[in-house]
Amino acid sequence: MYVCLCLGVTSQAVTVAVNAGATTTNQVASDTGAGSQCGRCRRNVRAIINATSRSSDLAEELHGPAEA
Amino acid sequence: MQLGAHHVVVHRSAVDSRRVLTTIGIRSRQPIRELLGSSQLFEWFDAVGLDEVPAVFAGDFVAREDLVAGPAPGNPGIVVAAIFPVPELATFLAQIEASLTRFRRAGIRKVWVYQAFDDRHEVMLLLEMDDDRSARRWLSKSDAAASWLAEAGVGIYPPVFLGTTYHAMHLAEMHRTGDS
Repeated sequence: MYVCLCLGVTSQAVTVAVNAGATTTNQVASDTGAGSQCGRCRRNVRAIINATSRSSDLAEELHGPAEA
Repeated sequence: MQLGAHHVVVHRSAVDSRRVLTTIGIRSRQPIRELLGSSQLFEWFDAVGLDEVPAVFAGDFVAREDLVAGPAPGNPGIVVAAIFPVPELATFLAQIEASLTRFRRAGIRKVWVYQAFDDRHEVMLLLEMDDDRSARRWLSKSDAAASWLAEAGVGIYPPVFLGTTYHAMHLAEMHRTGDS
């Protein structure tokens, strides 16, 4: 889905940024541009951050912490 | 702005009066980015008082099944729509094909499937069903819904939409199908 309409940033691009370590909307904006223009898509970005974080927590609960 | 749109349909939710589903049919992919970033789209959001804009699904039409001969007179039916990931589109379409008899028994009249441009494992499933009761029963009881729609409403994916067609425009022709 297109998350940031100003720049055409997709949910995949935001997910990649979050998986690479972005934990705030500012970090995602810096990495992908999403939310850096009008800022009206930041709730979408936050939803992806939260869902990815929950997914990581669940994976850790099931399989243990990822190895460094 | 010339987008080559051939239809715009607005559905209103039967669950949340503040929620609508709007579909715009466009002849080619090329103007999608232009549409998404256009001031017209933001003017629509402003006009309905949206401070935060929703994520937008854009994709190709990949399948359609008509399970009844024509629209039931006086019964426009109800629309169910969901966006969710699928492991393989071909497998998903085969599952739909294999389920058509069960679908009709459950009250499904028409099936449309769209595949997202930006993620080829993401689909929008749009169903026209006989009535609200059939739709709610299918959503709550069917194995297909349980399996496919598990991720609807999670993360960026909006919750399953259940509603009626309110306003449909086809090219220059315009008609309203619901009450105002």
